[in-house]
Amino acid sequence: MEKQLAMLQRRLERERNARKQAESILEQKALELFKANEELRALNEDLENKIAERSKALVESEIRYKRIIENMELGLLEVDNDGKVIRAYDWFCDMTGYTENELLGKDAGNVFLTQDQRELIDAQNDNRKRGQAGVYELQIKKKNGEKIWVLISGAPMYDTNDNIIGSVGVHYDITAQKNLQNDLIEARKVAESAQQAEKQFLANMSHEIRTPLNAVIGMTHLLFDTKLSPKQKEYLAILRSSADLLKGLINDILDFSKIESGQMEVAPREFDLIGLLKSLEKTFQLKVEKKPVEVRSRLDPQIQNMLIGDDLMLNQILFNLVGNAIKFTSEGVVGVNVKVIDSKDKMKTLQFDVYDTGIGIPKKKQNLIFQDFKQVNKEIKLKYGGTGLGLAITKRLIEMQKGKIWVESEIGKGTRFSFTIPYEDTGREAIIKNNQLPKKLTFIGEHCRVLVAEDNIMNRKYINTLLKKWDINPVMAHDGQEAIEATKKQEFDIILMDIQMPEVDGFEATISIRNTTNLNQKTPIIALTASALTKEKDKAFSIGMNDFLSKPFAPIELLRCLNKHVNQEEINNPNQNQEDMEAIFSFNAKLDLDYLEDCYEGDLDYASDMFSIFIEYTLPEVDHLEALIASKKYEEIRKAAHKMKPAFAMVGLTHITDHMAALEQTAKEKTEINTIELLFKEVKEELSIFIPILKQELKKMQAFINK
Amino acid sequence: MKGIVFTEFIEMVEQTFGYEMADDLIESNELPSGGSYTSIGTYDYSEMISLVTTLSQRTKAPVSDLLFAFGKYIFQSFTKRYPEFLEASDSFFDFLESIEKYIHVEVRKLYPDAELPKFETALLDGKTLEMNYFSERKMGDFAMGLIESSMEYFGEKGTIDMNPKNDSGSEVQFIIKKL
Repeated sequence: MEKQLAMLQRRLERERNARKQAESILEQKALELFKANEELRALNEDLENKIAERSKALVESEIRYKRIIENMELGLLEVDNDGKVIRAYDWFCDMTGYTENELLGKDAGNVFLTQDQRELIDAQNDNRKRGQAGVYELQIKKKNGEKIWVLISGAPMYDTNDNIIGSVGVHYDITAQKNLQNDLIEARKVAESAQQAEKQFLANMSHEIRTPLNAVIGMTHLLFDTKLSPKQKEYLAILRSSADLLKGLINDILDFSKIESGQMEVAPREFDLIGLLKSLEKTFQLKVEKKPVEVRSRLDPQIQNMLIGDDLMLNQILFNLVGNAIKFTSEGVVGVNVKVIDSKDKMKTLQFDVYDTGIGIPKKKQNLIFQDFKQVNKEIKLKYGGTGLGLAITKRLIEMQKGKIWVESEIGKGTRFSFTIPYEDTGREAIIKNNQLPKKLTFIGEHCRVLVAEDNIMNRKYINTLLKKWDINPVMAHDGQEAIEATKKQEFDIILMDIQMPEVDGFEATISIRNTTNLNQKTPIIALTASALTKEKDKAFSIGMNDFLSKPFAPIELLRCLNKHVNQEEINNPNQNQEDMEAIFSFNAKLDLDYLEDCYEGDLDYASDMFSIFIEYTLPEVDHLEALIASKKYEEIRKAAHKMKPAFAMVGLTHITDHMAALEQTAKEKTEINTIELLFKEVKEELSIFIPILKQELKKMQAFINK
Repeated sequence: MKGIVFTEFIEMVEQTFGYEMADDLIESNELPSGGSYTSIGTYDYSEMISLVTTLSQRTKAPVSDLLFAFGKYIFQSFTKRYPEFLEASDSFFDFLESIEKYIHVEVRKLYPDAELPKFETALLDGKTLEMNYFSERKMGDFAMGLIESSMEYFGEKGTIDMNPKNDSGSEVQFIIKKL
C-alpha cells in the first residue's frame, strides 16, 4: 500500500512537472506570439503609412497632370466602345459649349459630326479598337451650331486586364490655323493666276510689238534694195538702226523675263569657238564703221578643238559686252582675248576678256552695273540709251553656265570685263570654214513649192518679196482655214505657218494638216511667231511642226530654214533646166550630209578621190577583218578596226564609224567574240545596202566634174 | 523527439501493462527529463530508446514488436487529434503520398525544430505503391504500424512488405499492394 502510494506520489510529481513544463512553454509561446503580433502591427502601420504616402503622391500627380492638361488648352473626351461619352473634361466643354452632364451617355458622333465626317471617325474608332492610336483633323459642331476645326489625337483606353474599354480623344482647336491655311491657299491661287496673267501679257506684248516691228525691219531691208536718193538712204539708215535698237530693247526685256521665270535653259551642243570669234570680230568690224576703233580677237592656241557648250548664249554674252565696249569707246581698241585657265580631264575653263579704251566706269559704280535696270548715271542713259538690263542679263547667263564675271576699269582709260565658263573638249579638231554662207544655200529655186499662211499683210508682203527674190512663187493663205484648203489641193515642199491668226490659228491648222487626209501630211511645217516663249516652241514641236522661225527674222534666216527642210532630191521636178540652177552637187540623202559638207565643202575632186579610195582599198580590208574575227586574233582585230574606222565617215557612213569604234573597244577586252561578231554582222548588212549607193555617188560626182 | 510520442507511449504502457510498469520504466532509467512529459515539449530521442528497451526486457517482447504496436496505437490517437490531415485525402495511397508533401510540411510550420523522417513514394501501378523510409531514428517498425493502421482506416485490404535496405535500419522499403 505504501509502495502504491509512493508510486502515485511520483506520478503526481511527474504530472506536475509536466504541467509546469507545458505552462512555461505556453508562456514562452504566448510571449513569442505577443512579440510577433507587435511586429505585425508595426509592419502593418508601416505599410499603411506607405500606402497613404503613395496615394497622396498619386493624387498630387493626378492633380498636377490634370492642371497641365487643363492649362494646355487640350479638350479631353473619353468614350466607350460604342462611342458614348463617359467623361468630358472642362476644356472640352469650354471648347464645344456643352456641360459634361449634357454629354454623358450621348453618342459623341451624333452630337458633334456631320454624316461624311462620321465615316472618318468610324474608321478611326475601328483602329482604336484594334489598339492603334491616330491623329487626324476634323470639323465639329459646337452647341451653338458654330463649326470649329480640331486636331484630334485618339488613343485606346484599357482596363486593368488589358481589355479595350473605349478611347480617349485629345482635341486641339486649330480653327485659326485652318482659316489661315485656307486664306493662304486662296492667296496662292490669286498669285498664281496673276503670274499666269503676267506671262500671258508678256507673250501677247511680245507678239503685239514684234509683229509690226518685224514688218518695219523687213520693209526697211526691202527698201534698201530699191533706188534711193542719198538723203533717203541716210533716213533709212537711221530708221534701220532705230528699229534694231528697239528690237534689242524688246529682246533684252524678254530675255530678262525668261531668265527670271526660269524659262531659259542652257542648251549645250558641239560648237566651233574659233569660227564663233572670227564671225564676231567681222560683225563688229562692220559695226564700228566710221569710228576709229580697231576690233581685235585673240585665241589661246591651246584651243584647236570643237567644244561642247551653249554657243548661242556665249554669242549673246559676247555681243552684249563687245557691243557695250564699242558704244562707250570713241577711238582706240575693242578686243576679245580667250585663254584656258584650267584644264581637268575633258573640261576646260576658259577666261574671256573683253577690253576697250573707252570712257571707263567709276570705282563706286562698278558694283552697281550688274544690277537690274542700273546704269552708271542719268547722263549715260540719256547719251547712250539702253535698258540697263544688258549686264544684268549677261551676268545671269554666265552664272547659268557655272561661270562668273567681274570688271576692272579706270576712268578715261578703259574697261575690262572678264568672265569664265567651263566647256567640254570633244578632242576633235575644229574644221576652219569660211564664214560665208554655205554654197548649197542656192539649192532652192522656182520649182520649190511653198505655202505661206500669214494674216498680217505687211509680213505677207515681206515674205512674198523675199521668196520672189529667190525665184519662188509661194501660195499665200490669209488664215489657217485657207491653209488647210490649200494643202488639199496641191502638194508643197514646205509650209510657213504663222501661229497667231484669226479663226483657225497656226496650231489648229497644223493639227488638221497632220491628222487628216491631204497631200501634205508629211510636208515640213515651219512655225512663224513673234512670241519668244519656250513654251510656245515646245507646243509647236509637240503637235508636229518641224521648226521655228522667230519674227522678226532676217532674209538669211528664212533661206537657211528653207534649205534645211527642203530636200532637193525629192523635189518632184525632173524637167528642171540644169543650166538655170547653180552648179551645185548634192549627195544622196541617206549619207551623213552634214559631215560630207563639213568635210569637203563642195570640193568634189577631193570627195570623188576619197570615194574611189574607199571602194578600192577599204572594202577589201573589211573582208580581211572578217578573216581576223574568224581566227579570234583580238589585237589584230583591234588594230584593223582602228585603222579603217575613219574611212567610213569620209564617205558619209558615220554610223558605221561608230560601229567600228565599238568593235575596236570590244576587241580590247579580248573576250567578247560574240559581241564582235554581232557588230561586224551589222556592219556587213549596212555595207550591203550602202556599197551600191557609194558606187552610184562616185559616178554622179565624176559626171558632175566632167560637165 | 516531440513530446506527443512520449505521452502517447506512456499512456499505451499504462493502459496495456498498468501504472506500475510505466512507473518502473521511468524509475529504472536515469532520464534527463525525469519522466515528466508534456505533448508540446521536446525530448531527447535516447529517452525513448531507454524506455522501449527496458519495456522489452520487462515484457520479454522484441523491441520491433513493441514499436509496431506503438505505431498502431498512436495512429488511433492521431485520428482523434488531427482528423483534418486524414480527411484531406480521398484515398489510402493519396494519404501516404500526402505525408511527406503535406502533413510534414504543416508540422514543420508549427514545430520548426521537429526532426521528422523522410518518405519517398512512387506509384508503381494503380494498385502498388513503393514507399521508402529514411530516418536516423531507425523506427521502421513504428512506421509499419502506422501504415497498417491507416490502411484499415481507409477500409483497404492488401499486403505490406517491409524490406530494410541496410543493416542499421535507417533505410526501409515498403511495398504496399492493394487487393
